[in-house]
Order: sequence, then structure tokens, then C-alpha cells
Amino acid sequence: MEIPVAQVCTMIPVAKEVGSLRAIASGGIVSPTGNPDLPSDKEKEFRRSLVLRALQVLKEEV
Amino acid sequence: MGEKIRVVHYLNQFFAQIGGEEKGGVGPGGKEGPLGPSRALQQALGERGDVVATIFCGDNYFAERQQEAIDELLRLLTSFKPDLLIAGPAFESGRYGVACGAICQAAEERLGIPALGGMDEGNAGANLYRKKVYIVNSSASVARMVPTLQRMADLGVKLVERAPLGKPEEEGYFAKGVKRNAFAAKPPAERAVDMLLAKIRGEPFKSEIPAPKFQRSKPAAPLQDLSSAVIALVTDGGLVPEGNPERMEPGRPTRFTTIPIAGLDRLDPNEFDAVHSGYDTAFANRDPHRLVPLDVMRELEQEGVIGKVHEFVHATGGAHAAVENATRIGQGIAERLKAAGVTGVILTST
Amino acid sequence: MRLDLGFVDIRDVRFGPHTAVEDNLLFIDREELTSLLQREPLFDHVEVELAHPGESCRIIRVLDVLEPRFRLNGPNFPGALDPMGLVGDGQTRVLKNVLVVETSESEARARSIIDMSGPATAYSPFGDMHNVVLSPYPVSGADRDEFRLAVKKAGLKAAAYLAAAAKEIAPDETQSYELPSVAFNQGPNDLPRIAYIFPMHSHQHPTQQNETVFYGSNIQGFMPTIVHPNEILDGALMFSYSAFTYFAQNHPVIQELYRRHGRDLWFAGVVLTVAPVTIAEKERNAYLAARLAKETLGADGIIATKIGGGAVDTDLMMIYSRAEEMGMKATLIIMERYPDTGITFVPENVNALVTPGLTRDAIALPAVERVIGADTVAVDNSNPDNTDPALSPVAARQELKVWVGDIVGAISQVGASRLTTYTS
Repeated sequence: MEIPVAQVCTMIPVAKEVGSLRAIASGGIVSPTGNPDLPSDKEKEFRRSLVLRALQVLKEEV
Repeated sequence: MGEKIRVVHYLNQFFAQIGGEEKGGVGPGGKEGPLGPSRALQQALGERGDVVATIFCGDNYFAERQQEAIDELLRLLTSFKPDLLIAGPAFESGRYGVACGAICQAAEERLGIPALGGMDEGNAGANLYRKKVYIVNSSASVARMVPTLQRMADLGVKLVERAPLGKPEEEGYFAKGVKRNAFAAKPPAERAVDMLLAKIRGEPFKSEIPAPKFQRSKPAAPLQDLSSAVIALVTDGGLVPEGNPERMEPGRPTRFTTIPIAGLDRLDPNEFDAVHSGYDTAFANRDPHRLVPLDVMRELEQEGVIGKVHEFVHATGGAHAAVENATRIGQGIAERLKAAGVTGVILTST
Repeated sequence: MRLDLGFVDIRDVRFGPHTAVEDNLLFIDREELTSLLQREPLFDHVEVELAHPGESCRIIRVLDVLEPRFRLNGPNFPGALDPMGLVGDGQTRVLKNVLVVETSESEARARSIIDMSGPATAYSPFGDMHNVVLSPYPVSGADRDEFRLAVKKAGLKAAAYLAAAAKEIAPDETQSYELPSVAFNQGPNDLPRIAYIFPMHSHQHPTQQNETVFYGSNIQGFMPTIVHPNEILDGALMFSYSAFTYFAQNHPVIQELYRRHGRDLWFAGVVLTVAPVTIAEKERNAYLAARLAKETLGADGIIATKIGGGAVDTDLMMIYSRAEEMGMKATLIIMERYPDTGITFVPENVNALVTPGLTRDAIALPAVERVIGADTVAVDNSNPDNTDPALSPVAARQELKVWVGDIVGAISQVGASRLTTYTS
């Protein structure tokens, strides 16, 4: 049984090079699923939309 | 290189002239000066070095009591204050070959003494040790003793001097695939300008760092339906419980940890930390959701967008991971997820 | 714009009643220097020690290393030490063979070592120079980050203070660095124009708010820009981490491009940039840096180096790809860390890499009689790969089994070393 992986990361080119094709851009090296420059409620919205994108890419053929 | 290199030669009971198979149970010993084939090794070294001692052990003794044999042999080795250990050549003798590989590895790792062995490519010792210590290819024929010892002497001298080794095919050793430093004739900035100018002029040049070869994995088939999916959160950003009880490594990881999150709606910053040498963990420490988005995942679980969040977060700190270890860690995590019936993963990387 | 570096060759450094340079000897008034540095409120006290080439002496917990220099017309390290002003022109005195070395508690877990004798001196030039070692100790309750910045500033103070002693001394040798403005920097058509693209920092370890990296700026959100190479050489830049400021003052790529300027190349100039933390910003900076090299500096080829961790390999690969797409040729200098793969990542199209060496190459440093900086160091002699945060420190004066990369000055990411690597 294969398990699809959505990788939230910064170094997309590296991920793709080793076959992690469901790689999507993160909030940055120091905060992959966050953005410390945003106030916390906006940061949570940002996180939610990022996670939804990650879940969406799990459903995509790559 | 002014001073002569002090060399110790490791032999089995046969080459140490103690006896044949019947003397295989002989324990470790040592003697000053060259013995048996060590004389040919001395010839091969010439003025560059002296075989100051020979150490030996019976092949059966070594095979049956490896740890004790190594401890005693290292003790003997230390007493002779060598710059270099040469073991064998063992040709086709499997137990002898394994002993050569093992004593060389131990000398390097535990005493920091450069060491190399010699044996045939098919020897069990070559199989086990060729990636860990330098082994010269002796072939199976004992008639190759003298030329093999010459190669071993030449290679040994280079190891001691930290001079660049020639290519494996040229110098007759099994490639370890290990990078080493060597002193260069020109500094890096000059070599970079030379290389760039050659490139601009259309002249040949050679890149100094070959592309590392990674295994490319094939992506899995997509999920059909998220609302029944069991999604696991995995991270290489070094999430750990507060205080890092398992002492997860901040770099060069060799393992992963499993963090139970059943019943947790969020990751409390007082109960979790991020340990990782490759990025500033302050932001993740203040809010671990910046690394592992459990808060949002729980909401989506409650809303029915996903079926379930898997009850463990698998985590490691991915700074400077050796490819071998990273592969093993990934496989270990994958096995656990498969066994637990996980159907999708969100992997967060820093 | 032209910078004259006036080198005064110092043959020995001693403590004396006044700080002065006489007959190529540097005398240091220890009390005066100590009290100058102790004015920093975060310091409880500062120790000043001397270490000379050939001594059985080890300096540990090294935070930064710099060359004592003094601009005759000021300012020195503007924005960081002196008020804002410009550098890179006029005359600067350099005390050759002398280093200012700062040690700090903040480096307790970093194995940053200078040995004044033994095998380390084959790798690093620092053991062959006279080291003036500053060891500040914090007042109780001092903020760790602020203390670290204060220690770095102390190094700047000492570097300018010591070199000021040579301001009236005629130099033993003068080296001139001259490059006109971009508009007038035209060479003969047959000499390829070479630019240096220089990411000076990676924000995977973000700078502190009041950290001074470039002309006193914390360089957050820094966009690629053109700078004059002399500014790097003359005190505009202090590295935040991962490299020693000595190698900005003695930048190997800038020095090499100047050395060959007019001979087999034309030095087109320097693009200064940073490595940011999101992929979108990395892409933007790579595009802009390459464009500045191509359309503003008119480069035919670029060299780029990095500061930082594996993440920055991505920035370099992007700079390389963008440059080549624009019709320039590119070459990168990338330090290797791993005996198995060397660096993190090389895509197919990148075919011109130079290595300044492999950091994780084992070396045994012999026991020494004297240690400066602290008594203990976090080393596991049975396994130099052990980076367990709970590792118990061991006595620093014993034999230490470490890596070549732990030797300060052995391998600098900007391309300074005596090394290359090979696979065996």
C-alpha cells in the first residue's frame, strides 16, 4: 500500500529532484506552517489555507 | 615527510609462522620487528618506513571472540606507537579477511591510526569492510603477495601523509566512496576563476564536486477521498516533547521519535520544543504549530474534511543527515505508518 | 575609487606601558585596552591574552577573528563601531601578522579552535600570526543575544584601537585596490568581464534586530545591490555567523579578481545579496542578482559563493541557472560537509563547482600546555560525529579528535582554504 505525501517545504527544487513531487511552498525555513510577521489570527488563517492546499495536492495525480 | 613511518603489520597464525589450521585457536600476540611476509613489506616501504612490529591472532580465535581479540590487539598496537597499521593480505581466506577488516576499522575508529587491509574481492571481509576501510585487491593468488604488499605500502604512506590517493582502479584498492581533503596546489578562488575563464573560452574543465546520486522515489497514487483519509503529520524540523527526553540529535540524525497526540487539540509551547541546528528554532518554540499544524488539522477533522488525524507525530531533526541514515529513518517511519493504516501524510520541512 | 592598504609587518606583540608600534613590534597597554573594552555595560570583566606562533597554546570558543585595521580618514566599521560614513577609499593601515580574536561563552558548544602549533597550522593561517585574544565575561542576567553582539563589537573596538597605533608609521608595503565607477569601468574587448555575486548571509538563522552586518544594517529584507568591492575589504561587512570577518577583510574571491584584473579578466564588480527563507524570495533574489550582474555590470561570467547551511545550496543553484539563462557563464564555490555526498544538492545543469574543502574530515589535535577562552570543550573523543546536546565537556588542553572544519581559518565558505577534496 502506497501512501501519498504532501511535503510543505522551502527547497522545492531539491524535493522535486529526489521525487517528492507533491512539494508545495511553505511559510519559510523558520516557520513552515506559519508566518511570524502576521498577527496570530491571520497567521492561523494562513496555516489553514496552506494545510488545505497540502491536502488538495494529496488528491492530485503527479 | 622527514621521519620514517612506524608500521605495524597484522598477520594470522599461518603468516606469523605459528602454524596452520590446527593453530587457529591461538590468541592475540605481538613481537617487535618484521615477521614472515612483513620482511617483504619492509622491502616495499624502503626508506619511507619501518615495520616496527608484527601483531597476530589465530583466525578461529578472532572469529569466535572478536571483541576480546580486538581489545587485546589494540592494546598491543598502542604499545608499538604506530603511524600505520597494515593487515594481510588475506587473499581468499575468509576468516583472516574479516579479521583484517575488523582490526583496521577498530584501529581507525578507536585509536585514530590510519589502517588498510588486503584481500581478494570475493573475500567475506571485503564484502563487510570495503566501504569502511581501504582494502587493496590482492586477487586470490598468494603468488601476488609481493606486488600486493607494494601497493599496500604505497597506499599506506599516502594515508599517513594525507596525500591524495589515486583513483581506485589505478592504485588497486576498492573504492570507499568517501570524500577526503587534500592540500591543493592553488587556492580555491584561483581555481574558480581558472574554471570560469575556461568555461567562457569554451575550453575543457572539470567540476570538482560530482553530483551526488540520490535515489528518486516514485510518487504514490493520489487519494480519492479526503473525508475518510487517515492523515499523519511528519516533520524533519526537530519537534520534540519539552526537554527533549529522548535526546534527539540537533544534527546528523540517526533516528526518529514518535510523539503521541491522541486527545490533543493543540501543541502547547510549554510542552513542545524544536531541536535542529540548521535553522533558528525560536519561532517554532514560541508556537509549535508553525512546524506541525495540529490546531488546523483538528479543526478539519472535526469539520469532516479529513477522516482522522493519526495519533502519532513522527519527527526527526534533518540537519546534515547522512543519506544512509535519512533513508533508514524514512523507511522506519513509512513502515509504522503503513502498519497503522495511515492513508496520507503531510510532511513539514524546514 | 581607490583604497590603499598600508601593511605594517609586525614581528612580535607584547604587553607594554603604552600601545605603540616601534621597530615593527606591537606593544599593547593591557590596562588601557581592557578598560576601553570594559566600558561595555554587559561585560563584568574582559581578559586580554596573547598567543604567539609556535606556542603550545589553544584558543577555543572563538566567536570572530579580524585583522587590526585603521582608516586614516575614518570611519572604522561605520554603523557598527563608528557612526555612519563610507569606507573603501583613502588609506587604511593594516597590522600584518596580528589578529584580534574574540572568545565567548556563546560558542561553548561550537568546536571553534585555533592551535598555535601542531597539525592545525597546516590548515589555517591563524596559528602563524600573533593572536590578541579578548575574552569578555557577562554580568549576571545579561541577555545572551545582546552579549554576543557586544562581544563582536568589542572585537571591532580592539581592531581599530590596535591599528591606530600605526597611523603615523610608514607602511612596509602598500597594496592599491582601484576600480572606477561602473560607467567608466571599460576594459579591452578580449578580456572577459567577471562579476562576483555574494550572498553574505542566510536568514535561516535570522539576524537580531540590532545586529550590524553591512554598514550597521541587520540586512533583513535585503535586496540584491551593487557595492564597490573595496567596501567589503575595508570594514563595511561583518559576518553574522558561519564565517570570520577576517575573510571579508581578506576576501579571497575579491582579491583574486583584483589580482588578475587587466591580465586575463576584467573585474566587472560585486553584487551583494542575502539568502532569504522562502522559496519565492530566493527566486526573486536570484533573478535580480543575475540581472544586476548582466545588465548593470555587463558581466560575461559570474562567480558565486555562499554563507550558511544546506538551504543556501538552493539559492546558489538558482543564481547559477538564472545567470546561464541570461547568457553568462557561472562557477560556484561550495564548501563540502559530508564525507558521503559532499554537498546537499546539485541539479544536472550545474557543471562548474569548486570546493574549498570538506569540514567533516577527522583530525587529531595534540595536547597543549595552555588554553585560552575556557577550560573545557564539547568534544567526544571516541566519536567526533557525536553532537548530542547533553555531551559532557572535556578538558580542552588534552588531545582532541575533531574535524578539519572545527579549525578556525581552515575552510571559509567564501573560498579561503589550502584544500581541495577527492573521492576515494
